Amino acid sequence: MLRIDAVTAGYGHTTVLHDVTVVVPDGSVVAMLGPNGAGKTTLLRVASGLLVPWSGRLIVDGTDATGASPHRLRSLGVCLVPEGRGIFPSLTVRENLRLCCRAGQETSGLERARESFPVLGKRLEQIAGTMSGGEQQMLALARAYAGDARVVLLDEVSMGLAPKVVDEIFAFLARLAAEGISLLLVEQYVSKAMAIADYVCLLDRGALSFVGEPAELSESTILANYLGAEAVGA
Amino acid sequence: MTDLLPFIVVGLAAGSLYGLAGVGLTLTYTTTGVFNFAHGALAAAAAFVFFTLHVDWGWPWPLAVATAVVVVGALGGLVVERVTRNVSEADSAAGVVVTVGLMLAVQGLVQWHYGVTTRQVAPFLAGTTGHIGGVAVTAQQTAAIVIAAAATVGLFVFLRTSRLGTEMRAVVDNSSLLDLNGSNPNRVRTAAWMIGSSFAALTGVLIAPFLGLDASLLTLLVVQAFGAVAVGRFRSLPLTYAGGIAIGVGAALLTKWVGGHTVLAGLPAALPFLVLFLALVIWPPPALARQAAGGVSTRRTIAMPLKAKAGAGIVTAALVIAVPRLVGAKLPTFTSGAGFVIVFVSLALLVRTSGQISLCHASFGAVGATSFAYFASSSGLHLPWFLALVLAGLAVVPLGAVVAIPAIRLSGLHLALATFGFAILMERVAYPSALMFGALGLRRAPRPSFATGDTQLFYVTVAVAAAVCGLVVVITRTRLGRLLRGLAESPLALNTNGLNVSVARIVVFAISAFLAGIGGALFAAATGSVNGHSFGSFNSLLYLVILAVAGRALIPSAIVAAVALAVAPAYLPNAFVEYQGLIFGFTTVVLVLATTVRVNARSTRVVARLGANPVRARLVESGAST
Amino acid sequence: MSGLEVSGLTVRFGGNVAVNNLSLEAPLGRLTGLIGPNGAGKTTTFAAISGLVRPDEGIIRLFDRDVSGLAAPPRAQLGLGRTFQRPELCSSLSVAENVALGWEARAAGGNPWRHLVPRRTDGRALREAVATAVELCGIGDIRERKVGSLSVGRRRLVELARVRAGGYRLLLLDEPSSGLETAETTRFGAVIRRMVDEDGVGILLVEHDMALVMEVCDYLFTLDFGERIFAGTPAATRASGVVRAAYLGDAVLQDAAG
Ligand SMILES: Nc1ncnc2c1ncn2[C@@H]1O[C@H](COP(=O)(O)OP(=O)(O)OP(=O)(O)O)[C@@H](O)[C@H]1O
Ligand SMILES: Nc1ncnc2c1ncn2[C@@H]1O[C@H](COP(=O)(O)OP(=O)(O)OP(=O)(O)O)[C@@H](O)[C@H]1O
Ligand SMILES: [Mg+2]
Ligand SMILES: [Mg+2]
Repeated sequence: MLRIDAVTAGYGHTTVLHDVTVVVPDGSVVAMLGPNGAGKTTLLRVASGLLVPWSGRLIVDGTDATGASPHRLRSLGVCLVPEGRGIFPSLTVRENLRLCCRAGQETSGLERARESFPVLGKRLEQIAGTMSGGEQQMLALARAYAGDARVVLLDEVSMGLAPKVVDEIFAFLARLAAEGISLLLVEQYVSKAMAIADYVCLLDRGALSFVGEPAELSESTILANYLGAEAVGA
Repeated sequence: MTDLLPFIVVGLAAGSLYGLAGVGLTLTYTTTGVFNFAHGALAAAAAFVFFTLHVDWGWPWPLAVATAVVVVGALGGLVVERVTRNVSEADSAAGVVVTVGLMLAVQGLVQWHYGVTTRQVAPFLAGTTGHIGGVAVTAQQTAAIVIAAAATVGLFVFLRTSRLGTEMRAVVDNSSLLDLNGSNPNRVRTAAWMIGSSFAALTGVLIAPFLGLDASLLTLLVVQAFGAVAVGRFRSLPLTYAGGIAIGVGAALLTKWVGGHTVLAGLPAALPFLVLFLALVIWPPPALARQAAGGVSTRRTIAMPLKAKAGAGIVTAALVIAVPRLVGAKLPTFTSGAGFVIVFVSLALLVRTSGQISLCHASFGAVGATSFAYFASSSGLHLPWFLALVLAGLAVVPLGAVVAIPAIRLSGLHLALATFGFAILMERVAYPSALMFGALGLRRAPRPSFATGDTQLFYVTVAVAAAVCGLVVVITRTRLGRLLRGLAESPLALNTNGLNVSVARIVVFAISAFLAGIGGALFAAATGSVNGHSFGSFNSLLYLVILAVAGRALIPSAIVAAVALAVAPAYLPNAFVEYQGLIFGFTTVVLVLATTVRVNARSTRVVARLGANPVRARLVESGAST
Repeated sequence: MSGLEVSGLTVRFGGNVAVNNLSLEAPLGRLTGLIGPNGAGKTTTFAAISGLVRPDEGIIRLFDRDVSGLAAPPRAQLGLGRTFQRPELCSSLSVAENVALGWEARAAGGNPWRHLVPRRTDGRALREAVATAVELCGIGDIRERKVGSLSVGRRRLVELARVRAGGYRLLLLDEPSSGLETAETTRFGAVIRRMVDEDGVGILLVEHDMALVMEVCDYLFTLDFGERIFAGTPAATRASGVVRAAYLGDAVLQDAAG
């Protein structure tokens, strides 16, 4: 279980997150929604150890991991698929995949990645940075399958992917969840995210405005919260 | 053929070691993105350690070799990693400054401890291992060839097949992603630096018996390695190794062929630079796949409020006007100091606004000084003094263009390397020629007829310096300055917006070379006569490091730097001049460490291990908060 | 027809054919879409059009002029502007400085003298261009923010403002709305529509957000494996079986925008 407890965090002198608490229970999918600049990426950075919170705690399976480095959190089973292209551009696809796996489990990890994304299997020797934007995004996403993570944090992973591939990815995510892996999902495809989520959080200007089950949220509540009054008028 | 054989054997042994040094350098460059100018200095340190252990203390050689390599490799690796950690993903300019500082510091330390005279050392492996076509091959030569080849192959296999090797190549791409993958990037980087430093140390130990123990000679060994690295296109280990061998054999054969010709005597020694230069031009290395990070040093100028600025300006002006009354007989030092302000401003223009690095500004100064002497003196063209001054500046421009145009298209690092190669080439081949300092090694430069007294000359020099400073400030504030700041971060954006990217870079480089030439000329006029020694290739390195230490503000840093270089020695003990390299190199390193510590202390609340670029993340933070 | 015409474009990387014998046109005053699966060759097509990649075959004509032999800067000088799939901005400069830089880069071009001495009228023209572009793209409130501290979505708007300020007649936009939230995407669609309708520029748009594409585009080209598999109006494209099979998938349209 991943618990982000009363976290306040930001950059320099700007506070981005104000006293945010999010819990990801074992084997469940939590969707985190909110407008641009709400602090979703910042929250995932805190959860993965890239950013140390100013106050509050980060708890993984009962152990306090506040201030732990990203590699320490990875060994606790927390895996972030970052926003943008989370790959090593000058390495080949095969080498990229190799680094996603724990030492010693490279072969099985590679197999899983190839099953998930056949495109990658055909391009193992290509330099990752020369692949198309979407192909790079698939490679980044393969991290979630190839490794043996227990909690996967996904930051807008469907960005820049063709509609058909987006469908495939959500199918994968559902499968991942079925295997008992917890997911914390930041997504721009709201209804797709809601469809696989057990819980939904709405983040607005760094504070949680709603936490609950998807059924509790009507379309109009999301619209009002998510888009803001200005957008509804537009 | 048989009379060439001895040269080939000698060349093979030397070339193997150049290759070995080059391989270590390529390794650390491809894995950390930092090009280590201090590589040769580490080799020198290891060589000295080895001979202390082996010769002075009488340790058996295998133990002494192992100790020197392991100790220098491990210590060097730790130090370099720590010092470069926060620049490793920043721009190449910061990397060059830091490692050049480190190079001067290590070299200075060795010289301070062991003295500057060359010690001859006996080969530690006695005897010969055999004969090839009647040529005896010494055990020392065999050892060099075998060890270099084995180490290269071993490293190549390690990098390609082991997980740590893959991690090393990954850390340079995106270190926080590696962190997210569960590997500690600092540990991976340290491992890379330790291996690289061990290669340097091994080179030093093996090459000292051929070269003798001389700190600056061994430090310059790195330049042979630069040539090899350029042949390897900055990434291929086997090609780098082959490049080293080619340079070694080529230089040995050249030595035989140029034999008696005095004109060409400098050629063998200059070969590595020619190779470096030609390799960069003919076979340009591909751009690194990772995103070029922006010019970090360029944006952190301290913005003083206008009033304070005006106040500081008035105080400085008053002080300068009063100088002749205050300093008495030491006035000429201040006059040459004013000349150096121009040299430093020209360098600051280049480094601070465009993130490009020149390591040949001393050579530009030398060309300015000698051509000024030719244009102005009665034995030369005897042109009017000011006209001669401007022409001296212009004389440097085509030279600067020849060095810069090929390299400038590539990257800041390649420009730095090309200019460094050029500086050494000039020093070895052009300085002694009649065109420059000539057989006497000395050139006389006249004072203007209207300012023959010390005081008048001082004011004339200061006036020119002030005009140059004004010009540089204007340049940085207008379009060119803005374009250069943009170029430092996203050349692609400007390119697709219609800017011919090379033009902006060449324009600023040409202006900088022009001003450096004028500065050199004024220095010559101030001292009356100049020799090549004032403009040696190491001086360019010193300039860069002093400028980095002198602060971030454009003009004040240039003034402080000129005072530290040219004026301070008149008031300080001799040791200061002797150990300038050590002092400023050391200060650079300490400053780099201190700044990072300070940044961390200020933001104890945020230890942002952020994004792909820690330095940038910090800068953005501080930018956002001011 | 004036605008952009591409005929017979082929780009190979090693043995890999990224774009294969592609022809398309993007006239002024029309919003043309370019869609296709990941890796279909859209970004490569843009690179070839803007002069960053040398095509193996094919002719690119811009405003009735063959520009196939020109490098990137002269093509920009002719009026071709573009944005990038991954925004190309200077993170340590402010939003306004970034927007201004595009204009100045175009004004400086390859003329060393113009690098140093701007024309007398440049100052005012620049300020006006920046003000209009910033206002149009709705980033007036963050004018002075450093780009490095902006979220991805905002950066895309800054990049759009930069090409807008540069005064280009023909724009290539590579996934400009990915990372924007739904409301901003809608606004964004309105902005580019206005640029086409009111200023008469031509736009070639690459985008995976089908709701946006179907809404704003006048005409669509669909690529797969580097080849053009369909060309037609959005309605015709949506109805096409080939496009559905290659790209859209089944359940796409009802919730592409969430
Ligand atoms: N490195 C940084 N330095 C300073 N401020 C930052 C930095 N990264 C983000 N911010 C600011 O923090 C706020 C939250 O950003 P964050 O990236 O977490 O938003 P987000 O919800 O992920 O938005 P998006 O949907 O656009 O990705 C924004 O106002 C942004 O400008
Ligand atoms: N420099 C390169 N070297 C080798 N292959 C390349 C290179 N650049 C692109 N490719 C390949 O060419 C194909 C087309 O890539 P491109 O980037 O044009 O796709 P795209 O249509 O923009 O896709 P996306 O929607 O995912 O961005 C891809 O298969 C890619 O792997
Ligand atoms: Mg985000
Ligand atoms: Mg693309």
